Amino acid sequence: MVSAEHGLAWMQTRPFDSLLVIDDERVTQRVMDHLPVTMTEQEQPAVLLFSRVLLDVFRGRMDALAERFVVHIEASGDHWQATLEPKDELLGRMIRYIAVSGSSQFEEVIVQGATGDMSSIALANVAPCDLEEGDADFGVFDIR
Amino acid sequence: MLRHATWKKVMRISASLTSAKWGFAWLALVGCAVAVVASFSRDDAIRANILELLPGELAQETVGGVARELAQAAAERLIFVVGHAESGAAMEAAALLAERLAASDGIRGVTHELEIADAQPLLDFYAAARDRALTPAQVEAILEDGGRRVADIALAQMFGPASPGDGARIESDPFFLFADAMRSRLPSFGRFAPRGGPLVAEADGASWVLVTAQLHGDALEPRRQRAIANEVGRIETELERRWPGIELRRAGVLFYNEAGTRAAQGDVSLIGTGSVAGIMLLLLATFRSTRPLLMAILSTAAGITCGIAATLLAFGSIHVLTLVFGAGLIGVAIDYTFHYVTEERFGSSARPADILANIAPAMTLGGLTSMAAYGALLFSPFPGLRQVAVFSVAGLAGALFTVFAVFPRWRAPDAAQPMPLLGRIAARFLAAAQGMERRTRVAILGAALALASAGLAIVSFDDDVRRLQARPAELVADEAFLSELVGNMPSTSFILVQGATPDEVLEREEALREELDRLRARGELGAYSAVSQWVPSRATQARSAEAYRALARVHLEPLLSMIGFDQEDAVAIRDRTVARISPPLEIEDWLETATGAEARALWLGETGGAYRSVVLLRGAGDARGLELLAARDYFTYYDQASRLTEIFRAYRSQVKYALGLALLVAAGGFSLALGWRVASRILFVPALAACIALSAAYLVTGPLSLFSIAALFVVLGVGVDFSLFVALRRGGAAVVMLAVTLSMLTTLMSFGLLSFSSTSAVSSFGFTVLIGILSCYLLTPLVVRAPCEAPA
Repeated sequence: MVSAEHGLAWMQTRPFDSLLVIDDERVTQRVMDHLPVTMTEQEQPAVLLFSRVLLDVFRGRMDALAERFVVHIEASGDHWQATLEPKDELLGRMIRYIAVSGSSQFEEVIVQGATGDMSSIALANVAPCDLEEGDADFGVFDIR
Repeated sequence: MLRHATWKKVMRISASLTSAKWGFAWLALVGCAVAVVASFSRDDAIRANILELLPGELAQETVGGVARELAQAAAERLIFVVGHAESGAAMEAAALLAERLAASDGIRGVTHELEIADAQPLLDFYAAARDRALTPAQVEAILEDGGRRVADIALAQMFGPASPGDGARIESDPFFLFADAMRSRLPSFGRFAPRGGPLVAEADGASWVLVTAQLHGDALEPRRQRAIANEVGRIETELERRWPGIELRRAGVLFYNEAGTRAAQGDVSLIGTGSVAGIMLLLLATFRSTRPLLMAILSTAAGITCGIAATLLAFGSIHVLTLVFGAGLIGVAIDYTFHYVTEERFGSSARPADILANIAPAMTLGGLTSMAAYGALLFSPFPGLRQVAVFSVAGLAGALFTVFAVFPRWRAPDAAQPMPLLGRIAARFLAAAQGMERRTRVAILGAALALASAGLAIVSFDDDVRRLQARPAELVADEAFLSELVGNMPSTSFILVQGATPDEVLEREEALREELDRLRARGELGAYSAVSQWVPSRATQARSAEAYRALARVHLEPLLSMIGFDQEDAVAIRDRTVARISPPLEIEDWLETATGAEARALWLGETGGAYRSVVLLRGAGDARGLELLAARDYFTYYDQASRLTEIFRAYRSQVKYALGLALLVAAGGFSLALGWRVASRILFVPALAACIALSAAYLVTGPLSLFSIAALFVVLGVGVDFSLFVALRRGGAAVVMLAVTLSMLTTLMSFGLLSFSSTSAVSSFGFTVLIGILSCYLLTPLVVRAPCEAPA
């Protein structure tokens, strides 16, 4: 779930339960039955840096991303793809590029790691929702 | 009034001094003094390092060496942040600043982009022994539940979206522990994070870009400091023109020093010009001839030369502070010239021998008192004060000797002169004061005494060393802003750790760090750096490796299987990991990784059979907690600012005792020569004036310091002369009062003008002298009886 105000909530059910919440200030993760762990920029600059990039990708904040990445955009028909290449060394050590593609919606985010590994996030059934403050579904953000 | 035998003796000696052989002796003495000063005029003969004022053994010790090195490193660093509401503008401006700085003379090593490659040697250092490098918190986390939580979090990290996949890392650091452990060991930049190269932080609604620079060459040389500060000013103007709304904030010892030097130079040129011009005008107007002026210059110059020569002979060098304190001597030495010249011009005596005979008793007693006052400082353990003692005693002797041996041979103009207006007014003041009814005089003195004691009861002292330097508010604000943003500002506080072996040092460091962590948690300490953060003690390394093996034994195979390794491969990797014995981490290897000069400076190695290291402290709030921590004999706590403050406090207390001792010596001497009744009257005035001056200085300029007490030496020296001459000198009230008034006015014009200095310590010195001398002048006629007529 992506919220302009609350950030990104990433819920995982298999192979184990995990909930990750990323906002502008910190990253909070609850794994299985353990107490949630919160990381701030002071403690984990690298994790925070990458999480913030991911948050910006999901929020579609191109202006923020353009500060750290060289952005190439290609489009053919109604399909588009944006490739982000990191400008600074710290990010460059983690990521070779991030490719975001889709048509009318986000469809795929590919993170190409600097050492050759690749993560692919495919999105299905992306739907806007108008939750109101206090709605039960917002509860996922409350682990912080 | 003076006892007969003493009087005769002084007369005889004075008369003999006018003979030609003493003139040659003077020439020989001053010649030798000039030769000594010339032979020492190398660069290092004048010392400015305040640490050299420490008592002998302390200055040589390791602590002093480390302190000097850290102070040097701090002095060479400049830190800037460039801020703008638009982060793009801030980054462009920072790039231009870095470019301009790099092109400036005297600046090297300008950094404005993060260079990660520097960290590679450090990463390589741990490569073979990652299991030994876990942090205490990680070891504890593993021991808590056998590592289940650590393993689960690692698993979640691998599956989560927020960590970029890195297969290569999974085998070497499957639980992501090493990456975490390295975080605290790599250079940190506080709230700054890289953004496309430059380090950027967000604060106060603007983006701030960090630029640091290193000075090279003599960072403390004033001309160079001025040039660099000016260059930074020019760059700032250029940035403001190109990016309106841009802000440049800075921190660095250089900026403080430059502001201090600028303020001091402003003071010197204003006050110096004012007092020199004032004194020249006063003397020319009073005597209508340049001769008295030249005599004053000759006697003080001879005095200062003798003072410097004696100090150089005794100590091999002279400290700047000695010169500053010793300057107080001029105020005393110049008075001898006034007494000679007034007697010669307006007195009854015609022959040089008679002139000397009239002024010699008061002058000799006054000179001896001042020498005793300064000489008392010889008993202080502080080299700085012993230097002042030698300088002043030799200087006063030189000036006195000049009056006796040279002035009688200096041909006086024949024409007699009428008494100048100044002398007539002063004589009228004396007569009015002495003619007052006893009741009135007692009332005035009683009121003065009551005010002075009330003031003394409330005065307090502040020995903060920073009062020695003008500290512009803007720089102080910039520094506070930067240290919040940057975090690792240069530091000069540390704890020295000592042990019989390197490993003992590391173990003691680890124990100390536990305490320091508690202080940090309470907010009493910002941060620290210690060798054991990079190279743990053997025992800690073994504990780490043990915990890691326990973790791998149980959790490595399931973790690897879960993310897709073959069962067989997973078991093989686990067995390899559990069976592997890694080589211990050694300090020598770490020292070669060059994590920055500061980290290298932490390990001092072996001297005299003991190993030592430095735990560098940042943002130490309350020093008392740290002092308590360092109470064990293998810890030594040091903080530059508080250490210097302590030195000044100790100096102040020593000077206070020296002053008391000088008063006692003078009281004894005067009683022998004049009887205790006269002696007590003569000493009462300067002592009372000193108390009034301290109280007034406290009320006007705030808490007192070493410099206020030092000012009392001038008050006592000049004040005792006032009373002595009024009490003893023959030749008419107008002549005596003219000399005393000239003495008072010149002292006010030289030292009194220092009250307007922008440096708090200097202005409080000047103000204390101003009030003390004025009080002496006004009170002397009320207490000391002038002789009604010349004794036979």
